Amino acid sequence: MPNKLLIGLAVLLAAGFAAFLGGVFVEPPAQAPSALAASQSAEDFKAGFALDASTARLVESLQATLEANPKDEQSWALLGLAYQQRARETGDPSYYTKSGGALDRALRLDPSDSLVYSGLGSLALSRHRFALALKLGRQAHALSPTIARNYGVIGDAEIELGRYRSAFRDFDTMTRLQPSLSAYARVSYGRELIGHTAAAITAMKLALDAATDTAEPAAWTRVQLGKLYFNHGRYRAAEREFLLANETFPNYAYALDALATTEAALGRLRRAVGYERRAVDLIPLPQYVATLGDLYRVAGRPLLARRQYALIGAIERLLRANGVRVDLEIAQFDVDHGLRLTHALALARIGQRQRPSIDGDDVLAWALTRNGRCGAALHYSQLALRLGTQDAVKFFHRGMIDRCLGRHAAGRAWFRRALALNPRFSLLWAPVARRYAA
Amino acid sequence: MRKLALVFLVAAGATLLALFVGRLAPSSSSASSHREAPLISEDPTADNTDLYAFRSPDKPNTLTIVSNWIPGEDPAAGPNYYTFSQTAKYNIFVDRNGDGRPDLTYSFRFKTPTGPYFLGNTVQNWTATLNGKPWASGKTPMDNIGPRQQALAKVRNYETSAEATIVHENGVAIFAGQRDDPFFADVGAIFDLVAIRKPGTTGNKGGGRDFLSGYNVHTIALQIPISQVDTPSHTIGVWSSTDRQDVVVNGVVHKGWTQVSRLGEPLVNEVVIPTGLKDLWNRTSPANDAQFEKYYETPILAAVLNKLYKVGAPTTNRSDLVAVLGTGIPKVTYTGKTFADELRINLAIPPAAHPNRMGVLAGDNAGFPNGRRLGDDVVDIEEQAVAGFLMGHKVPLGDGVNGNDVPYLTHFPYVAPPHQGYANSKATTA
Amino acid sequence: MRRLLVLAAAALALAAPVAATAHPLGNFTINRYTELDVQGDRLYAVYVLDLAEIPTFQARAAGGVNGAAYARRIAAHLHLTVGGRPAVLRPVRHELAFPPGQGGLETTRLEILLAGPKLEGRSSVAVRDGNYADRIGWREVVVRGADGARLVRSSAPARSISDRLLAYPKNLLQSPLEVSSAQAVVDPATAGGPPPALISPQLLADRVGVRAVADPGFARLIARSSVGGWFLPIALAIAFFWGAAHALSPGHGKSIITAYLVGARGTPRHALLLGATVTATHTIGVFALGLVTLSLSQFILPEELYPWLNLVSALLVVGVGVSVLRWRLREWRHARAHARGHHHHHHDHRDHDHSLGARRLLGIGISGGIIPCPTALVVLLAAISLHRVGYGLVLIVAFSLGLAATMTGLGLVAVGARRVFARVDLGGHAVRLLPAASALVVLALGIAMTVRAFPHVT
Repeated sequence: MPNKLLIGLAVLLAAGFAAFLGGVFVEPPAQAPSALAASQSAEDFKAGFALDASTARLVESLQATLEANPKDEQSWALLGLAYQQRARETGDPSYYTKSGGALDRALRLDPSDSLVYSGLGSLALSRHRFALALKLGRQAHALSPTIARNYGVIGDAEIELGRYRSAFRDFDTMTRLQPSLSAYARVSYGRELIGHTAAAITAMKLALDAATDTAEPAAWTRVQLGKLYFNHGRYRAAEREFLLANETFPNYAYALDALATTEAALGRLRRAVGYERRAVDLIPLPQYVATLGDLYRVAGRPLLARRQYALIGAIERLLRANGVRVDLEIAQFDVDHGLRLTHALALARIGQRQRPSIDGDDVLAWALTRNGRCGAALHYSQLALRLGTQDAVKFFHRGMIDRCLGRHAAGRAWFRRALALNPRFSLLWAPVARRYAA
Repeated sequence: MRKLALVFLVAAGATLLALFVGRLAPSSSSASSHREAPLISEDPTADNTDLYAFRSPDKPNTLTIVSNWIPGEDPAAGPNYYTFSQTAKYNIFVDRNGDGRPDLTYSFRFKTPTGPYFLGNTVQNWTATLNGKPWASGKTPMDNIGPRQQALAKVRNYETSAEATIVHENGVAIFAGQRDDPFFADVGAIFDLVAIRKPGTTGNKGGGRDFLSGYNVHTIALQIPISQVDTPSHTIGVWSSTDRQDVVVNGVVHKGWTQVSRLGEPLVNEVVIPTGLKDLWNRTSPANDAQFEKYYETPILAAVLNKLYKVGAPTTNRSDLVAVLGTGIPKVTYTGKTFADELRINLAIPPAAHPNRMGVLAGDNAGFPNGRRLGDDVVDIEEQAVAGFLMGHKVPLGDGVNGNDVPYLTHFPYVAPPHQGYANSKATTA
Repeated sequence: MRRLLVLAAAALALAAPVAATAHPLGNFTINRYTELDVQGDRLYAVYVLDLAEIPTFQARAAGGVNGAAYARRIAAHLHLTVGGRPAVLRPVRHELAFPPGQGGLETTRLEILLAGPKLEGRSSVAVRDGNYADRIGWREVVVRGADGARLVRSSAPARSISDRLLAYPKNLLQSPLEVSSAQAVVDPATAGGPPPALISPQLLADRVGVRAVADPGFARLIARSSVGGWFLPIALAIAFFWGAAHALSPGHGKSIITAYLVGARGTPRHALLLGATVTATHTIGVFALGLVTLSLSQFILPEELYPWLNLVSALLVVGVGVSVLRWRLREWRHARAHARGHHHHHHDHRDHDHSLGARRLLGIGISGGIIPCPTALVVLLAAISLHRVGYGLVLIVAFSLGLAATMTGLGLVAVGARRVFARVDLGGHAVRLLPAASALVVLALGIAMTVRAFPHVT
């Protein structure tokens, strides 16, 4: 036998050995077709009986089913999705790991179940792996083109990747196929992005009405509606929605954080700090911790503020070690607080590459501005505002760019626009805008 | 040197092969700043749970249609109480000529007047149209939450005040509001791969648990003079659906209505239609049901029953099921050759003096699958039908639950009053 | 045969990577475990508090974790009732440790032994943990009886499913426990029993040591406030020690070196050469990466480069493995051809051998040293920011020397083992196949490393 062939064989042998070592073999589906059909049928029964809207109970019943029959692919898929919903409800990230495990099991049992790919897609979205989420969403869609959920996964990924026209089309299709809370909320977001505020509020109210009897999604929808109000300076209306959200789903970090910002806007700093502390205790997301730090700073407690800022560094390291991409969030924090500006610019570039949405563009623009590169910043700011979004923060950044480039009149106009839209758009920067707008 | 390069290539190729087969390690993460709207598929307030059609036993010249929505209403759930969705349209259809298209369309819309949330304001105003024209309006009774709330609303007897909301319009009696869930089934046993509880290996001798015992639903009930719906063949088809508004990102705010749920024959969506097609099924109208006919001809449930209990159910060419569920029982409920999922009823057959829960399978032709009465045990009937009853292959299957937890009313709206939240009874043994 | 197996097992063990795992339940959880022990006639409680990375960080920032203070506070919120009446739980002892977690942060493990009342006759006991009530985390309650005490009935299990928060179950069908109370009826014995034991610090260190990722001792050297004259040699010694210790943690191609030397008829000189190569490569690698970090920091993050470095190193190993394999095969055919008496030409294998051998040694040495230990990088960057560049450089060289020393040591062991093998007559086939087998192992490990490295690059 020629040398080459022997070597090739040896290499393949080694590769096999390595693959075994690395555990990358995929187990073949272990089920016989009829057993699959049996579990499918059980699933069909289950799907019809949405007895108890409580996710915790659904999780329990699925766990019991799987203990008895570990090869029930449909149950693994449903469990994977249920775990994701539990993660939203409890904030406990170990549910995401479990969700991934359950969906992987389902995938091994049946590599052609659209629902599994869809679930893996939404998991990828949670980890900010938007390109992967898009791929998985498309796979799910290819397997089952008539399911509305897949359009949601695809559309969400497209939004974060800056492909807005495609995303809006997908949201439209999603609504056409199955109008529901998920679809309405996404249409509302689309309308918000193109600056149609009243229409966005209408759509979010439709979502809210379709949310009855589902606690966390209803609370989430209320918070979104409240944020729509907040972003347009309607603080009392916003507060009402956030309080109702907290009634619907007590101890909801998302609502508590929103309440904190609103209380601060209404001038009630101590209450704001109380709410934000509760949010941070529940789920220490970087943006919550940053807000708490800023609240402390504005309230005149610099030592406590510094502690929160230090915590963000720790959280960033941990999230990164866990494979969650947070470059954009960290860049935004650093730039806002004037920390390690050069490093923050590098992070912003990376973040914008991973997330070429208008938010990514805006963070990069701001980072460039704070590093004195206002010419380059202008380009990204224009990108960030290209949809016509009514966003005071983006207006403010643009004002700073114009001011930096010497276009003071234009800058002042942008500052005034920002303040007219939302007078308290930022704890740190709204006062600056007010100063420069005069 | 070239050999080395070649070997390198082979090595790289093998590596890549191994790679595509591999996966990223799982990692934990938390919800983050990008917008994460829910992706759940539950929409309880639009979810059709059951549909009944029968000649009223106390008024045999009327047809009663009962349509239920919102599964599993926990009577004690608060502070958000159950109501019809204010942005959905609730429909009941009657097909009189067997073409799968509605000839009579009753559509309801509900509006909750603004009021204090914490009193659980569950009284809603409703308006109804008939074939698109304004027809009737009324109010729902409040949800049955508890004695204090009733005292606040100056209600002495819940049922009396509930029935006082019944509206009469052009001979038709109309009720809309919360009721006890009249469906009975051992859903837990069905979950468990059609396991059937003892005693008796094939379970139709009782011993099951009514999983829906203690839960409420929301009902729209119509009592229609037969003269308004009758046909020369006396057979009609009935189904029910829910629509939600269709909207787009960039365009007119309200574009139109999309159907999100529908129901004709019981358990078809759950048992016959594959999971991957449920979304499609839910938005299809009966006139386009021919695409699903093959799933009736080769029902998966028959294969499951054979695998689990070796009952010898025929698994292919089930024209009997196609007939019963899709076109009507010959000479009894046949409406024509159009295959459509409708609950068919023969209005010429009088109500039975002593109804048998097994309906036609027990010789009681006034019961399911000729229409559907509240007390008909559709789970047992369908299981036995799938096992081949109508082809002469009789297997005594059942889920062990033979009746509802509370007795039905003997007058309109027939569905029992809703369970009270304060008393909080749920899921007891049947 | 057995020695071969042992060596193979050792090689595989060294090759098995230990991933840096997060706190198993999430970086911001506060996990609590309450155990009621009825020892004879006396009630004790063991409470375990497991703070993940973020709560530990927050506690440190707010003034540190004082075991005694925490124990008192926890005891105050641990509500015990006996026979319906509140009873006191007094903290007696505690063990506090900070097992390393992810991202260079630490977690906290506090075990507290609390003494409760003496029980007279059958008693109903109930316990409720009110600590950190609205924080996310594992909550588990266990009730046990020992030394003659008997549990008549209990709402809690008698054994922990998490081994007192040391090993959280990875069962996909188990939601995180959320139990913070329990009730039981217990028949105490007539005499008292010894209090339950807490975990020993040594055992704790052993059990959670596998989660160690960083070399905290080394990193702390650069930040010492005073670097006086007599301290410098000590610092160098410490750095050397940490480098040596670091080499024992997974990575740096120890298994590859071992496998290669066993198969390549290595001499002690080869082992020393490998060591020197690793030292040089590692030092250069740290400096290079440091330079890149500083100058290109606007565009590239060091973290982004690591995956590429891993990939390059892996491909190098693959290359070496293939090259060795080719050589072995050619040798084998040659030997067979000889045996059949086919050809007569001269060989210059010796020279061929040496030049190729040197190149291969270099390849392996480079692959072993090319990945700068993150700690070393941190030290360099810290040195620069603290304006102690010279000190930093010297520390890194000492660290690299320590690293190399371990690798050389291992290499010498491998060489020695090979010599032992050579003396034992394993029979013709085994001896002839061993070099090829070792090449195969090197190749396999190289491919495994490549496969592992690839996903992180994308």
